[in-house]
Amino acid sequence: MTAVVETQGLTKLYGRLGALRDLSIAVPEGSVFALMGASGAGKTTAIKILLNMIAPSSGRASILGADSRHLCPATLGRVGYVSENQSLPVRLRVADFFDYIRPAYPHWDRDVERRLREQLRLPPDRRIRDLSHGMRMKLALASALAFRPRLLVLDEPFTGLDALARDEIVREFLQHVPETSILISSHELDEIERLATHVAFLHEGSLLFQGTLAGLREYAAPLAAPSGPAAAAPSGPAAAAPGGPAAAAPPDTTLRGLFVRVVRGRFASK
Amino acid sequence: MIPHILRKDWRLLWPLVVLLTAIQVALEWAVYKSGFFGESADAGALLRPLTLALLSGMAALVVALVQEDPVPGVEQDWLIRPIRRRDMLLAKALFALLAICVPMLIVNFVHAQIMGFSAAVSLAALSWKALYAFLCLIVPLLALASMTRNMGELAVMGAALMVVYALSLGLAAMALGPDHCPTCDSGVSWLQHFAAHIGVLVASVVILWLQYRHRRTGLSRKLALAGAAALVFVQMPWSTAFSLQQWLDGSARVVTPVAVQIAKEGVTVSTGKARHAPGTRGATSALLRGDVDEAANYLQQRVGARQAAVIVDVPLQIRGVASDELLLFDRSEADFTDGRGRSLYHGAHVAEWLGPVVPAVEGSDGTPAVVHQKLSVPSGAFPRSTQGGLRLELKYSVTLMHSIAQYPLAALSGVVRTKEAGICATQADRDGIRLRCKKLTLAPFCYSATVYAADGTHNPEVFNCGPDYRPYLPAMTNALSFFGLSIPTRDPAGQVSYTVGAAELEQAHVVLKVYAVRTHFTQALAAEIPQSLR
Repeated sequence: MTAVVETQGLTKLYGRLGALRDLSIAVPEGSVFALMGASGAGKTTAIKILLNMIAPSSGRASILGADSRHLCPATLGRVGYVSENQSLPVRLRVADFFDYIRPAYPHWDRDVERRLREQLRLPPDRRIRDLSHGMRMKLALASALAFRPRLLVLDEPFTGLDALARDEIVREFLQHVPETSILISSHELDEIERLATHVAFLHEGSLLFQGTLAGLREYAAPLAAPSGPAAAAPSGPAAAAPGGPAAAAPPDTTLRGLFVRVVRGRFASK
Repeated sequence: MIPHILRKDWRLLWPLVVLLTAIQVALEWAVYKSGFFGESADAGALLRPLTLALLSGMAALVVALVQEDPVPGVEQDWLIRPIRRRDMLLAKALFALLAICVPMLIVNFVHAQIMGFSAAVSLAALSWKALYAFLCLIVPLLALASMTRNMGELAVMGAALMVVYALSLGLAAMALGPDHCPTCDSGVSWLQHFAAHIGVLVASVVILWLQYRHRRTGLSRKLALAGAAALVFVQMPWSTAFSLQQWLDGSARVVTPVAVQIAKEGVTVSTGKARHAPGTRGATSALLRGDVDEAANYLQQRVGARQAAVIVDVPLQIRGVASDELLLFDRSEADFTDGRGRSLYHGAHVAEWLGPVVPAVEGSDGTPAVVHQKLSVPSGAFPRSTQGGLRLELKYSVTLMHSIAQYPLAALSGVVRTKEAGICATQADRDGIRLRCKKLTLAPFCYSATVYAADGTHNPEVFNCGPDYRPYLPAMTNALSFFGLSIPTRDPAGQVSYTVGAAELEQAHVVLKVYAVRTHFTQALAAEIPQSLR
C-alpha cells in the first residue's frame, strides 16, 4: 500500500524547546490515520509542517509524493484541510466564499458542493464572521470535501462542537472513505475511535507508537494497566463493575485506555 | 486565478474604492475652485484635509487589500488552497493599480482638460504620475502590509520604522553635522531623493518576494528596519551628485565663459559671537509633529552653537555672465590649512548664501560688482597663532542659468498660456502684483517678473530661484504644480519708492522671464590669509 503522507526524522525546535522530535510516520492510502496525543504533543506542529505552513528544523516530509517544502497548486488541489483555528475570509458571504475558491480546484464537484451545503445547512447569504464556530467548521469541511480530495487533513476538527455537529461531521467523513485518505489529529478519543483505522501516539513531540488498531491492542497487551486517574474512572462497562479493587477490573481496551497504557508504559520503561 | 481574486477583493472593498475615488474628485474640485489666487476660501480650506484624506485612504485601501489574505501566520485559509502566491501578489498589485491609479489618472485628466491643457501632454504627464505613485507609494505600502496581519501589527511596524528613522536622523545629525546630508537643501537633492525612492522600491520588491515566495516575515521586518536606517546613513557624496547632474544636463560638453575670482580687497577675518544654542524643546515638539528633519536640524544647531565663530569674508568678482544669464552658487567647500599644510578646518556651505547673482557693474570702467560670501567657521578649529599665516582653498559648484522665454501679460487680471510656465495670471493686491502659474509637468524653478509702465519705465526685476534641477518627478497627490511670486509696487514701510506704482498699474504690464540651466561647473580658488585669526 502506498503512503499518502510520509515523514522522516521530522524535527521542529523553538529555541531549545523541541516541539517535534525525529517523527517518522507513514499514512497508508485509503486509511483514516489518527495522530493522537495530549495538548502540546506536537500534532498541530506536524500537520503545519506537512502543509508547508511552517518549516521543519530538520527531517523531511512528503504529501501525495510531493516534498512538503515545495507544494505546488496541483498537490494542494488534491488536499483538503480543516482546522479548529482555520482563518477563513470572514468578511465573505458563504456563497461568495464558494464562488471564490471553486475555480482554484480542477476537480471541484458542484454536485458534491450542493449536497454538502444542503446537508450541512450552510446559509448562503450569511457572512462567515456571523457564523457560529460549529457552522464555520462545517463550512470548512464542505469546502474541503467538494473537490473530492485524495487526502483530507483534519486538525482538531471536533473542538468546540456539540454532539450533534460532531456526529454530522463524522458521518460525512465516513462517506468519503476509502476514496479519501484521512489524517486526523485530535485528543477527542471517542470520536477518533469511530473513525480510525491507524493510529500514531505522540507525547511531548516524540512518537510512541504507530500502526493499526489491531496492532495497537497487540502492542499494548503486555504493558501494565493504568493506575492513574484514567484507570480510576474508566469508561465503558468496566466502570460499572461492582466491588473489587481497580486491579481486578478487566483491562480497558478502548482507545482512551490503550493510549493511557502506552504513555504510562513508555514512562515505566524509562 | 487572478480574476477570481480580483472579483473577491472587489466584493469586499468596493465601498473603500468608491470613497477613495470620491476623495480624489473632491480634491481636484477643491484645487480647481481655489483658482490661481485662492478665489474660493472654502475650497482652499479643504485642500489640506483632502490631501491628507487621500493619502490616508490610499494607505488604508492597500493595507486592507493585502490583509484580506495575510501572509504572516499559520492559519490563513488561502495558504492551503491551490492558489499560487505569485497570483495572489499580482492580483493585489493589479487591484491597487485599477482601484487607485486608474481613477487618479481619469480624475486628473478631466481636471487638466477643464483647465485647457493639451490632451496628449496631459495623458503622458498624468500616466507617468499614476505610474510614479504606484511604484513609489503603492508598492512600498504593499510590502509594508505584507509583513503584518492586522491594523494593530501595522501600527506597531509603522511606529518601529518611524522610531528607527528618527533615531538614525538624530544620530547622523549629531555625529556628522551638516555632512550627514551633503545634498540637502541644494538643487541636486532630488538625486538623493530619487535614489532613496529607488532603494525603497527595490527593498519593497525584495520584501514582497521574501513574503510571497518564502513567507520570511521575520527577515522581511529586519530588512525594513535596516532600510529605514539606510535611508539616513546612505548618502550620495556631493561630488558624485554634482557630476551626475552635470552629465544629465550635458554640461560636460559646455565650456563655461564664466570666471569667479577673489576681488582685490582680499579675504578678511573677524571674530563673531557664539550663536544661541536652541533648547531641546524645539526638537521634541518637531518630533511630536512627525517632522524628523526639523528635529534633526535643532539637534545639529545645538551641537554647532556651542563655539564662537570666526567670520571669513570672501569678496568675489564674477565675469562672463551675459545680460540674459544669472549664476546660482550651489555649494562651496572651504579648506583651511596652516603654514605647514596641516588641515585645520573643512566645511561645506550650501546655496542660500548668495542667491541668484545677476550681471552688475561698479563704476564707469565696467568692473564687475563684488559679491561677498561670509563663511562662519568655529574659532576652536584654529590655533591661537599661526606662523606663516593660513591658506584658504575654496571649491565652488556653480550653475549658469539663461533666459529661455519671456512673456508679457497685463499687470491687472492678465492671463497667459506658456509652454515653459503653464498658465499664468496676475492680480493686484495692496502692495503690488501677485503672479501665479499652474503647470501640468515640470515647473520652472527659476523665473523672474518685471513690471513695466506704459512709457517703458520699470521696477527692479524680481527673482524666484530655488535651485532644483530635477526632471519631472510628479507629486503623489496634486497633478498641477503651483508657483509664482509677488512683484512689489509699494513699500508698506515707506523706505523704498518704486517707479511703477499703483497708479500706473492700469496701463502696466508684467514680463515673466523663465530661466533654464545652461551649464553646471566647478571652480577652485585659493587665498593666503597672513594674519592670525585671533
